Amino acid sequence: MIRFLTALFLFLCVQSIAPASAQMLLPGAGASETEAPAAEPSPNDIKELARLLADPAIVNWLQQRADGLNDGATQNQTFREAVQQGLNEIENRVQLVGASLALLPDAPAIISQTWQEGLAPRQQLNFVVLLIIFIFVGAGLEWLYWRYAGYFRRRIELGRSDSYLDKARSAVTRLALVSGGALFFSIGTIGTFVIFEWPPNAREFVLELLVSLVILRAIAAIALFALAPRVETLRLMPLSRTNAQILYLGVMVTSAILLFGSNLSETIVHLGRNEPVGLAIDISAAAAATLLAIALLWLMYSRSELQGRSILMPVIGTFVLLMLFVLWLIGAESAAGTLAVVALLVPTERIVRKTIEQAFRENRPDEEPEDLAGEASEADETGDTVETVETDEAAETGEAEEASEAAHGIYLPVAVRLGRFVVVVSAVICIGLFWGVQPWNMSAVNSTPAQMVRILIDIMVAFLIGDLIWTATKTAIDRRMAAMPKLQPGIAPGPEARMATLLPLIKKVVLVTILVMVALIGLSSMGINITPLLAGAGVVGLAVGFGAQALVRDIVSGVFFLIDDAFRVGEYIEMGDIRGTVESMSIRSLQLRHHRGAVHTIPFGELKSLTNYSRDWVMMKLEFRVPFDTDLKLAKKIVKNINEELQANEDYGDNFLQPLKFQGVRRMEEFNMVVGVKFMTKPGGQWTIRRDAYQRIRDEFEKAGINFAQRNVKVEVIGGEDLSESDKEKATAAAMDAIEQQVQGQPGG
Amino acid sequence: MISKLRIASGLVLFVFVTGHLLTLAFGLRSIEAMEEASVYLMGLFANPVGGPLLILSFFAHAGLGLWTLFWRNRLFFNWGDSIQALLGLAIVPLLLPHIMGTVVGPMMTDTHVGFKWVLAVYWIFVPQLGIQQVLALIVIWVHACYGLFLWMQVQNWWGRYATLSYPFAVIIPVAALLGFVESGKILIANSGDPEYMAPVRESAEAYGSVGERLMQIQADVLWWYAGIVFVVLAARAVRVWGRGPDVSLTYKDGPTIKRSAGISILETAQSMDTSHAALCGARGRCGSCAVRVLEGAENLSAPSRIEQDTLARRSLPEGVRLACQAMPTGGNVTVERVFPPTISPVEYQSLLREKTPSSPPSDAASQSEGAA
Repeated sequence: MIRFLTALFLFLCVQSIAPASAQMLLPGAGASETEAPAAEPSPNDIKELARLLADPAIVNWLQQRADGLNDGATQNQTFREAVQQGLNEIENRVQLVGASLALLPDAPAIISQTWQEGLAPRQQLNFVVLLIIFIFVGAGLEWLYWRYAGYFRRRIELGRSDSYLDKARSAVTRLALVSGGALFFSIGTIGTFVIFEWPPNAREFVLELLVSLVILRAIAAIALFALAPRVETLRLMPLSRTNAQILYLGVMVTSAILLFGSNLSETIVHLGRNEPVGLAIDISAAAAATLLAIALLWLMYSRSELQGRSILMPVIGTFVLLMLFVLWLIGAESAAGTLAVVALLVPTERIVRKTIEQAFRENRPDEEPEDLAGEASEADETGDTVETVETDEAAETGEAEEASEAAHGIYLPVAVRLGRFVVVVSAVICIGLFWGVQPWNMSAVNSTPAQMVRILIDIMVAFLIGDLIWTATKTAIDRRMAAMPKLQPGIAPGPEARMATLLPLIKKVVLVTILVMVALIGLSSMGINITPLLAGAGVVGLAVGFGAQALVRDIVSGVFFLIDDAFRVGEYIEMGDIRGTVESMSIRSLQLRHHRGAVHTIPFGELKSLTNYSRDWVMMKLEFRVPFDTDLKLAKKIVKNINEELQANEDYGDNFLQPLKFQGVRRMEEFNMVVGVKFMTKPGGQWTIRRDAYQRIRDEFEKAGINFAQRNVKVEVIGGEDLSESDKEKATAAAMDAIEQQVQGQPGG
Repeated sequence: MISKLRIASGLVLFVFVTGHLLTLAFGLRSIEAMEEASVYLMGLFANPVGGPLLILSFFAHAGLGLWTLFWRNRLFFNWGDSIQALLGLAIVPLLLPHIMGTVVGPMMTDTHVGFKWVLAVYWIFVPQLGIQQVLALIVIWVHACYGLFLWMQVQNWWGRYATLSYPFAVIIPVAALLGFVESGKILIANSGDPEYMAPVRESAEAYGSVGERLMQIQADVLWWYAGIVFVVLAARAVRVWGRGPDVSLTYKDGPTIKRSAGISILETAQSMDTSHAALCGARGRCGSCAVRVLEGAENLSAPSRIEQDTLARRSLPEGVRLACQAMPTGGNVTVERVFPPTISPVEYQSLLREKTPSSPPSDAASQSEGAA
């Protein structure tokens, strides 16, 4: 019974180390260790073996072992036989229970009689003396321990923890300190016990008692850890001070009754070999503990002041406790354990989730919504009005959950899932333990239940891991989508628009992949060979893959262009000899509108390099040819004036990034010089400005008397100062001919 | 004066008990070794000076204990203190048979009592007396150590010896109890040997004649003791019957506590689990419970002699009172702790040595210490 309780207890409190502790509890667990390498036996060894085999004691022992193995081979029996056997066992147990209940009134007399027979009167009292001394030595050692460690404990208890993690860290430190105290107590009591010689009966009895004490101390330490009945700042459970104290007391009394009841019963059975009386004691202890637990449940329920508390909770709890008692009574301990674990599963999962959520909430005070903080502090102040664990879940709405999920990033849901994962897996392991299946040793067992449990665990683990990945992905994608600006009519969509079409696609792909993988793992753990399935899927996939190669390439390269942010809707781009404004994008391709109206459709896969003309700024450079005798200072002044005028323009004045600037002479040519003017604008705004700049400069230059250089011919006749008009005309005509010839000949030359 | 007499008589008793327990520890070797050791370890109180001193100390200590019981405002102050008082009360009935058998008995029969006889009584003849004696030992030792440590930890030399002295508090009684068990086992193992058991037989014969008178005396003493304790408790009940008006005590940065008058600030605070340093156990010796009265100084009882002495010795400034001595008499009182509740004796001593008791460490400082 102690084993049963301890396993339950471990499940409740130390989920993560359950396998290790349980292994300690079941010494047979490590039986199938690796075999030593076989060596050739020496003749001496063989003789020794023969001698041993001749020994009747050895033969007997071997016989018993063989019988034991036969008993163990019951897995070969039919279902009908198994049921029959189970029913028989229950019947026997019920008869035993009946007998012991009949003995119940005489139990005290029998106990004292057994005790008297087992030990002489003087011995009894001497043992009491020794027991007192043990406990004193243990207490003394613990006191000494607290002399040195107690100060740290006080520091922790009186300190203030700002966040939940701080709190948990302090609570764990205190648990370690308290456990140290319990350890010293155990060393003191059991150590002193070991020094003395004992008559066999007394030894069993005293040791049982001391071990029970030590277990009780361990339970107290863990209850203290979780409930912290006196220290508000270290309490991990959301309970008020009074409720925590009541719960702590209740847990301790219940555990003490169970422990010492089973202790006494085992002593009686051992001393007097009187099984019914032992069972009677067990039953009374278990009944008392059950009643106490039910009373505690209803008390906590009635003290809870939560609005949405449901009467269903204590009713279910009562039912489960009664069922547990009845199942234990008829000897179905495995069933009782399973029931307990299943019943504890839901509240444990909730507590774990609550704890994680609280931890996240308290660790991010900056992101915390105001109302949540207010509620929490109010609850702390009013103390007694804080809800109990059992009933505080009903009020929680899905909306609140969503909100908190959105506020705390992808880690909270993942942590919650992880917590659930751990809880469920340890529950399954515990149930396995109750049915005699050891998960870490399962490959060695071939019984049907073991197989079933193994398959179940495999599937569950696959499912839970899949769930974990799915939650992480989903939260990440949903967050990304929620962060996107909503599409507004009239405004061209940004790159988010395409992302918004892509993200759901990714989500679906991930979901399908996870589902398929989980299904395949499930099938394979059931023993179905999935290799042909995979191969078939592979062949089909290959065929489809070849066909869709281009499509896939388009989609994938589209994703990367998107990540690079190479273009957006409305931008003017050029690739190769195609140019135009981006009009729309689909998953596969891009549509460009040429400024003359033609629409190009280009698959993303075809895009190699791409020029975007619509990014950040555009530089425009204008050139004018003016005669050599132009006044450059005047020109500069004129340009400056025009700049001011253009900047003040209502339509495009804002587009200027750098003003219109006169750059001076850029180069000298044969008959004139080239002056430059430049300006910088936002993309798209340069054309109108250029138009107006040209126009204004021309007008102003003309007003100022600066003429643009024009092509002209100067004919110089040496010594022709006194030529007559007609001669001049002739000469001019001849020169014109020559020039025309030159001009006509030039393209050819 | 009363306080000094109390600790002085307690120290005398402590020296005796320690010697007695060390004697018992020699039982781990043999009963003869115990006899021999007792000459040296308990001889101090077996002469015309030591004997009466011991008896006087015993009565003085017990009487002062009852006297403070009478002056107690709340029966329950804190766990340590209440247990200390209960243990003190339990010592007389628990120890009485031992005194009857080893002091009064020999005086009446004019014989010497050896360890063999006492052990034989405890382990063979009347084992329930053995249980009683072990309980008495534990009770006396716990009572003694608690009182001693409370006194020592506010002395100036305490910090240096504190950590060294703790193990002795455990080793001595454990060794004594193990010696008791071991010598008992030796005696039981040799109980068949007539020569070995000769002293036991002699004592048994001597006690045979006075046994009934001894029992009679023991019963009388017990009744008288019960009567005295009852009278003290009844007198105390009459004294505290007239409870005063309601008091509201507010801590700066802390809770407001409403109670009826008649108990000290410290008791009021501790009744509501408000943490408060009180290193000497509310005896007014240490000054670590000092509070600065911010409001309602007129609503507090006048400083007693002990309080004035301690305040002067610790050079605490005006407006500071000892929470364990000052008693609200009605109305509102607002106070602020001078020392953080987490202070340890060692820290307290170092604070005093720095001569800065008037500038208490700020809340933030004590918090950061707590976090470290």
